[in-house]
Amino acid sequence: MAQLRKLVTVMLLFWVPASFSWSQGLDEAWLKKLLEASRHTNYSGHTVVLKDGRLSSFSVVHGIFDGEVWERVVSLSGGRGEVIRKGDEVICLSPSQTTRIASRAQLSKLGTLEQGLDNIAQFYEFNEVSHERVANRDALVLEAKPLDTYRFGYRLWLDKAKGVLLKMETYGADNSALETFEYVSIEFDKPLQKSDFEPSSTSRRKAGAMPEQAQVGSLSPPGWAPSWLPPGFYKVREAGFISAKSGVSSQLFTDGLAAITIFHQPQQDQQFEHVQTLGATVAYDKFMGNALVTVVGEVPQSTAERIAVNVKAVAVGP
Amino acid sequence: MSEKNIERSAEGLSALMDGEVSEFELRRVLSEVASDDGLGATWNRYQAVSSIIKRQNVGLGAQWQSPSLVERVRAEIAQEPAVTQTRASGLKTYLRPVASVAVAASVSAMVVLGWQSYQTVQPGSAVATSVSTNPVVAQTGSTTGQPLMRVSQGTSNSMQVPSAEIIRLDPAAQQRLNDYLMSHSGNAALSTATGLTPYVHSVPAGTDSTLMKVKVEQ
Repeated sequence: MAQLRKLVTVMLLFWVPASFSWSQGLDEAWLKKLLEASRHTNYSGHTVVLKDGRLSSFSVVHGIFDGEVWERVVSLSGGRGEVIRKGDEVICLSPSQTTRIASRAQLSKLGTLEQGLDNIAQFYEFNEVSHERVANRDALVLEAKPLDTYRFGYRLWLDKAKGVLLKMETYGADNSALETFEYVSIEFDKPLQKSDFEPSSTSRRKAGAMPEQAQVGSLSPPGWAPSWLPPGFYKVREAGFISAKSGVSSQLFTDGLAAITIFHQPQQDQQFEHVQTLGATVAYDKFMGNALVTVVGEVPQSTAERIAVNVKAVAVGP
Repeated sequence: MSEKNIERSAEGLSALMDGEVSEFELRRVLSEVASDDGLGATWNRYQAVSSIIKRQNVGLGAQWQSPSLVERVRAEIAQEPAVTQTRASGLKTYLRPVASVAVAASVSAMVVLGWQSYQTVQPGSAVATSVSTNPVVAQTGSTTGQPLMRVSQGTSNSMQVPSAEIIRLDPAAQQRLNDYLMSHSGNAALSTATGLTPYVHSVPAGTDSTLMKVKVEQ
């Protein structure tokens, strides 16, 4: 198996997205393919998401412009809302003006996702489960089974021809799905215009002025850090808000599949600590002196709690 | 009930199982079953045996019908220490007592609707809460400032959680967590192999039907 992995790694070095093939083995190689597919493929379609017994539907447009991934996800049911991503810039628009947020990576020198994926087989066991049809396309079903209790498991349905994720289940300790995401229709290589990624007039009007990019750039070093993270999680991003939440800093960690964001609000007037769950995502508050630390991520609540209680202030270097 | 009556009632049940009772007999048997736990248990056993003979699954429903299980639950609840609490007057808008909240009601509501929330009191805050167990209550309309809805179901007092509290959630806190969730999801989309999916987590599904579950713990 070790030899196979080496072989896979070597093959990956020469791998070209256009010559997509599923014959190269399991574990991290699959995820790298998935990542590549998202960076080189245009597609649009409709998805449904089932979480906590509620079904929501979205339209998705995904394209590549100027070498960057552009994406627009629009909520089609329930409350109005849309998320627009242009490269590293992410804008979330919802009917409530105060939920307007944008954030982006601050530290390009941090470990990239690709590097992290090299180690993912230490934390998940990957198995090819079966072949199924999703959104009228042939899909390969992979299972990523967690090797410890700090994270959830995943079942991934990958388009055999394109490598795009067609369906995903996140499951907990009892093997039942915490949430399910699935394309019901998807179309590849359809010509897309930049105008396809503009917010709808309704969203724009309700969300107020679009956030200015310049405001995101000026973040000081955070002055805090987690002293414990589940094995395999590494920092990929530091980000700030554009909104009334000035002073909030955040750091994002991932093991390649699960993501955890730690938020730190220095001067806060909260009286309560909250814990909320939505599908597989948990948000866990913990007071740290005058500051409020909130851990948000697709991990079990016990993991979020352990991370939250272990966030410490650190000296900020010159 | 005399021995003769029991025997007669059991015969009635048996006849009922076979669909061989008159309307008058049916009323009498149903009335007796309703007033006699022993007959109710017998009826359950008959049904269970019948199900097994017919190769039907007895299922969880039958377990819940079982008087012995209900008795065990009652006993467990009776052993729970009583909940007592004091609170500052300024927080009356946040903390409201509710006489009773049925466990089943809150559990089933949770299955239907989205957010769960557990709220703990900051140490040293104005709220002095002394709670020795974790009462669970359900609340609707929490994000829109609507009046609290009391959730109650069932008639058995022993199935109710004593002195649970409904807490009106702070809309600002709710907004903050939603903001965090969206920010997290947007960034996670850029930083995990699956890419798109966290986005889809983030778009709020609407606040009109949001149901909050609140737990007070110390």
